[in-house]
Amino acid sequence: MVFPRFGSRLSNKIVAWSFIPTVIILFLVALTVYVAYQKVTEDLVLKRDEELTRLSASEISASFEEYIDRLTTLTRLPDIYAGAPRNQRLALIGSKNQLVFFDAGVYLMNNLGYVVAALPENPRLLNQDWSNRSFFRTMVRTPALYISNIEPNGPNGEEVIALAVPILGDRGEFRGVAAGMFHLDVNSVSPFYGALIKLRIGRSGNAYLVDSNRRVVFTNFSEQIGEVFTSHPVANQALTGRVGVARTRSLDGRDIVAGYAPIPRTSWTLIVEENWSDLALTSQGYLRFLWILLVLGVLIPTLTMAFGVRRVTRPLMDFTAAAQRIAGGDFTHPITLKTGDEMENLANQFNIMAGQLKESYETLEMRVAQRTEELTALNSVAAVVSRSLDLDQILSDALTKTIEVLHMDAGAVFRFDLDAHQLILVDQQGISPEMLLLIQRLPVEASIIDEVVRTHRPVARLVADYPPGALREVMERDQLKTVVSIPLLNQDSVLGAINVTSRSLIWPSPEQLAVPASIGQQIGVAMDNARLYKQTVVYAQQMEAARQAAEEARAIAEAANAAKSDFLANISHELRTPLVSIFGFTRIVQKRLEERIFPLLPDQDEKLQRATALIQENLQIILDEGQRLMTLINNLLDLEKIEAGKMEWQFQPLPIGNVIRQATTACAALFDGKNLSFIVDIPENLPKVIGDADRIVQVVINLVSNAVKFTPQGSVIVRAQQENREVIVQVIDQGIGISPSDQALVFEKFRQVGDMLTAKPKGTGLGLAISKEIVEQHGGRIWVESEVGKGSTFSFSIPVVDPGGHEERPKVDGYPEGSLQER
Amino acid sequence: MGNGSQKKVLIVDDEAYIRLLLEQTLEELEERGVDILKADNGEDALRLAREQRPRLIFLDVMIPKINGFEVCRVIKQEYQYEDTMIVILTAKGQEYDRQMGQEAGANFYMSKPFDPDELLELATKVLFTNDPDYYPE
Repeated sequence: MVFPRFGSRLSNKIVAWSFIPTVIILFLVALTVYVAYQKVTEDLVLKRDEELTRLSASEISASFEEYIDRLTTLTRLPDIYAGAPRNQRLALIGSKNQLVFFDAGVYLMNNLGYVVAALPENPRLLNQDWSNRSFFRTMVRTPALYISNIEPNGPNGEEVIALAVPILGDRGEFRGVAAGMFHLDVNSVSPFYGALIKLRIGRSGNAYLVDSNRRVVFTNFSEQIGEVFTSHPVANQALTGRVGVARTRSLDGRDIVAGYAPIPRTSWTLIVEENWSDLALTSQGYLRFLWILLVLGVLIPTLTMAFGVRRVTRPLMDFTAAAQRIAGGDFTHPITLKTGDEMENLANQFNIMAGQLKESYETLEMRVAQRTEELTALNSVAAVVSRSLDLDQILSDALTKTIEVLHMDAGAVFRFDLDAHQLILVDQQGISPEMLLLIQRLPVEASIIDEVVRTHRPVARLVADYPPGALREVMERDQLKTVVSIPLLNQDSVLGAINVTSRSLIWPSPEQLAVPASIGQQIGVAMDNARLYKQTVVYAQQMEAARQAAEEARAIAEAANAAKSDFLANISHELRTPLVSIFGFTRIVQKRLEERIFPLLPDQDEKLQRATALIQENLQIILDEGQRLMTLINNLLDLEKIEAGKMEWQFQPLPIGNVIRQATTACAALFDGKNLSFIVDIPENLPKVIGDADRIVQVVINLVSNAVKFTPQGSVIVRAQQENREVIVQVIDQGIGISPSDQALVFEKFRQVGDMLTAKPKGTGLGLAISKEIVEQHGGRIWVESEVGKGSTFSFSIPVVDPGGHEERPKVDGYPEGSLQER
Repeated sequence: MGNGSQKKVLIVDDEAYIRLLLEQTLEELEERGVDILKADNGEDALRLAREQRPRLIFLDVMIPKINGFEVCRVIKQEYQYEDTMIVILTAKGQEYDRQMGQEAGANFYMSKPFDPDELLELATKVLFTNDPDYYPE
């Protein structure tokens, strides 16, 4: 299944998009609060610590008050300040009970610094000079309370703390010093230390009482008393005599807060150090509370959201599942949602939509089924009607099929006679003989078909609705209830109609009538096809007849042409045979006369001489005219062969220069006895051409003999040169010339130029026509340039052989290779 | 080289005047003892050729019964190693005929109308040259 994954993904997205920012914001708030709190806490703690330290210092100072009082009381005794040394000693001993605090003893000195009394009594000390002791020297300068540092001021030079007050006379004059001393021994029953311990300075941490020489006067760790206090992080700032506090790290790495304050009336300093964690103990609880808040702040939204998202996405998943079911064609499971919000609305809309979809789906299926049925019916009709091209056959088949596919009982098919406006029955099925009589020829108006013809649509009618009359009676007798009439349409013209009828009472819907309409169109098209086919068959027959006629005409023409060719070939043969005899015998006669008869004649007889000369001339005329006739026949034959494609060409690469020279040599005889000069101008380096040498020679001879014929005097020039890819051969005469209008005609058969009556031309008129054919067979051109009275230039061109090969060989492909090889 | 065969010439043509013309053209040879035989169709030509073994035959192409090329071919096959020389003589001057004549085994080809002097010269050379295989240029 796909949709749960989709759902979880969606919820993941929602959670991600809402939860992550919430957590981030919560975290930031918590962090800020924590940092601010830390800051405030620190400030508060430090302030409080500083204050506490200052108070402790005051307390310590206050604890000295009793000692100072006792000493001061002592110095107020008259025996002390005014008595003789002995009295002073006595007075001191007398005050012994009040001075037991001073575990290192109490000592009186006179104003010179000599010891005058000691408690406990010690005669050794009397009169010792203590004027160098610090308390005495200070006292001499300033006669006021003095609390000393740790110094070797003891009776035996041991280190003690001395508390000294001046002994002042009545008038306040300095009379000596009273000094009480304490041992540096915390373990002793020193009332001094006892008082300090009682103060419990530095409840959770350490407290240091340090003198101005950095000697530790008191600390929780008794072994350190008397040591030098230097390495403490706050030592330097503490000993400046100011009150202060610092958060720092102890030597052993603990996070500590160290407060410091000078002890009033002394040069001492109190340093109280406590662990930060101890101080911040109260804030730790607050911090924990913060963390719990943070965790709750994360958890509660997460759970709420997860739950909410689930609540929101569950319907979506349901939707997905429902949509998939619908896509799969299952419309039976509506979505049931009772969320009471837009989702429920959506679900309801969805269910309505699914319902509509189901409805239209079913309708569609029904329509498809219906349409399939229609198409099947149509197909079967189309298959039947296209089976034949015979119109009546088509209509019969169509009727049978229509009755079948429309499930009718009987029917008739009509052809529409447009001229008579009648319906002519073509075929029927299941129609009773009585009815048959009525519908053989049906006026359109009398039938249901009238409506069909007008609307071009199938019409259904109940027999009961027919107008009263014979037709209705017959139908009712035949128990027919319903008639459906279908127009046979082709491009909007009604060609006929099929009427089918049923014994059931049916009333087809317009949709149901669509099938008969299509059937009618199919049949109409088939009818038209049949008509066209008939037409086509007629056309084809006409075409075939025309083709045969053309074929016959062509065959006749070909036969005529062949007959002409044969005729020409035969006639020339037949003409030549007698000419052979004429030539031959004339030559023999000539020869015999010359060799045998004329020598026998007497030379003197002029008449006889003239007669023999005349005979010779006449014989020559016979030969010349015979030659002319022969040339005519040969030309005729050649032309015919060329035109009929029967000429056997001997194409091969030719040195054109040599060929033309050879032709001019053959022409030399033409100039015999003529007042004409013959100039041949052919360069040596002419290229090769593909050609039939005999035919090219024939062309040159034709042109030269023409030139000779029409040039009474002057010269005839034969010139050849290469121009581009052609060799141009020119025959130039100084003859009578050809008028421009005649120039176009000279190459036509049996044309000769000029006035036939006045200037009788010689020749056959075929020479130029043959020359043209020959040149064109070589792929060349022939033309004339001329001016009347000045002469003519006949030119022809032959393409030059491509040096790369013989592809340009013109028109030789049709000839067998063997025919080219022998020469 | 049969008995007197070198002195015989056979003329084959269906035209009587042509036969006559050839005969008169070769009149000189008769005076020199050459037998001139004549035939007007292919059958007679073959028969005479077989019987008389002429040294030289002037043979028209378009003759009745058996055409000239066929006659030529038969003679040349039968006398394959003989020295009978056949001159095809026809009005047709086309290369196709010339080639047919060569294929049939003809030695020479002359077109009508012929030059009598040329024809006589050819015959004289063939008949009176010492070289039996003389072949005209």
